[in-house]
Amino acid sequence: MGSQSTVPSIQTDFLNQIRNKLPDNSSFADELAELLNVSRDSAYRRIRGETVLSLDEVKKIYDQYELSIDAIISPDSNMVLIDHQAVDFNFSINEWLKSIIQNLTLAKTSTTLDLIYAAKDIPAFHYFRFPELTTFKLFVWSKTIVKDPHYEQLLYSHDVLPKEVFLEATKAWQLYSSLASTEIWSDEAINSTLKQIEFYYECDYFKNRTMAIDLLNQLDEFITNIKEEAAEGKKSEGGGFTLYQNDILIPDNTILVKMTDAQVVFINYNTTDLLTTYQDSFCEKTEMYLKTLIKNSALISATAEKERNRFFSRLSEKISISKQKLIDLK
Amino acid sequence: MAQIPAPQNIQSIFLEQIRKRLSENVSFPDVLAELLKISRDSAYRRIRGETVLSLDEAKKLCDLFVVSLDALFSTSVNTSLFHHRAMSTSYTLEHWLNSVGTNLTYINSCKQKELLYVARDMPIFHNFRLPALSSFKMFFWLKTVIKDPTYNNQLFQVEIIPPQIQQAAHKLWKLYSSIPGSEIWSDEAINETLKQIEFYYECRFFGDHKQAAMLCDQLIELIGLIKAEAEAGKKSGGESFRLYKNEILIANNTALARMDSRRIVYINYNTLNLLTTHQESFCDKTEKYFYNLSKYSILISTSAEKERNKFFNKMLQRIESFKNSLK
Repeated sequence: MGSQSTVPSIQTDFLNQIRNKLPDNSSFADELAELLNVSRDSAYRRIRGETVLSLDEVKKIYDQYELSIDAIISPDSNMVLIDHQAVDFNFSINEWLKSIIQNLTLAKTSTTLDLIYAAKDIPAFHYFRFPELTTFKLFVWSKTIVKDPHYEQLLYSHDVLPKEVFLEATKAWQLYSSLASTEIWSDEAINSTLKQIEFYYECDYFKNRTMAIDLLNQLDEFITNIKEEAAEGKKSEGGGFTLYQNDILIPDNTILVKMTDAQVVFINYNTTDLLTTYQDSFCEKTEMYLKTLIKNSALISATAEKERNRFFSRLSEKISISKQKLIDLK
Repeated sequence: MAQIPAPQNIQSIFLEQIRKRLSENVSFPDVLAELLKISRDSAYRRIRGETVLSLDEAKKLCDLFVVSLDALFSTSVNTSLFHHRAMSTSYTLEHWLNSVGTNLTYINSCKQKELLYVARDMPIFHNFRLPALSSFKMFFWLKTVIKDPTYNNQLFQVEIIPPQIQQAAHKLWKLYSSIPGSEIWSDEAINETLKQIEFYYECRFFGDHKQAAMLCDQLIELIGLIKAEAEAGKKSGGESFRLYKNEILIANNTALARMDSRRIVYINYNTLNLLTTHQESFCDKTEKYFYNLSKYSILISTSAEKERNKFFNKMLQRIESFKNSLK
């Protein structure tokens, strides 16, 4: 190993960055010696770059300080580490709801908060205050998207979900509703729910076919409700509500949450899966995209009554068309 | 290459990951020696774990082979490393096209290859097939999505996109057509483009008002071409083409390339952003997702004439009725 006499610049830089993260009064050499299980002298040699740090040692440092090694050694790279949370048999809808609640609770504790939601589909939280719609959305996810075997033979009825799942959903809505959010919707945002209702109707997945009509009626109620909140610029639990209408770009469901000391992007993938990353450069690029999206959108909350009425009428009209379709199918 | 006794330390796992990125006919120690500017012997010692790989050396390899130390260290199976390409005023359209072109060329160079595609919007390459539509899409991205100042005060005309960009885009379409593919489409595949034409029409961003109708005609022509290819079960380049339709389960645009012994997932999100990963676990999940989805979809290529007609005619009707509303 004696042949490696040049000082590895990245190693020095790397260890310096870690030293900077520690409280001033602690001795970095001591801490490093203890962590790597080497003598104080050996630790110094690593800091001075006389001994090469092994990747095993780098891993120990990574585990201890929870920082991105990639970000330190290749700060300009376009690489991003993304966490993929898939709802499946090992990660049920109930757990999914719990993890959402956890994220929202964390956001709520931040002194400053900026939450921007680009919505291909209406943010599910909004549905969660209506019991039947909640039941239907979660049932479709379980039966058709996640294909939970437990739901395979089940038909939809308004009381098909376990009570505890339902309570979690309500909690998620209450939390979301108490946070300020900026949302960007297009008039396609209601399509997937309507298609799901039509699909279940055609497949005879409703225990009683009138339940489909119940759901469409509840959607009407939902539209009235959300329109009022947009008019006030406030959600029912007090969180601000800034709503933009965008008709030219259909985004993937993307959420940017900027808190006082962290920012995070969630991208909805394959309906219920979430791609999550905290990487700053990625969050910044996403923010730029969302800002462009907003520039291409019209603000319809608190102001622009005419535009707002037109937008929600278009959504209502889509619901009526769906109703007619179901009646024709009978 | 001779069997190397593998001590289960991180250095050997790391180097093994790098070795897997090389084609089979090159010698790993030689490549390592050349890249790190060390002797062949020293390279062997690093591979055998007798000499410690420095962070400088690791960085060089990470950057060249797109490997992440974080991903290597992380114990979570849900964490994957992605490469991110976002078109912007600094990462230009031309860069983006060329970089995607490099990917497609690579896929094409493999003996066995297949592109699985879940498409909420029509796969982006089809837009580059017909010149006016191709120009319109690119002009829209430049002027409205990226907000490139060059196009700020410009109105649309077909010639506004420089020829070398048009050619780069057309090349993507050619490359895409020469890779056998299975695709699952939603019937919303043309909605975004129609909205964009409508928006430009209303904003009077067309140099000539008739261009909106002309673009509708091109879209109709394009749908006709794709329909014929679905019927034949062959892409225009002669490669096999399987098309499924799914009306309720598609929420994103995702492609999975399967090559000889490798896979790559491309997620195209928010218009022009691309996330790419080689990570096995993510590729596995995506492949499974694709096959599951295809089970719940209807195959409308070669067979199912009635379903195929219904699917494409619905799109054609949507374009026609929009075109009629233009006057």
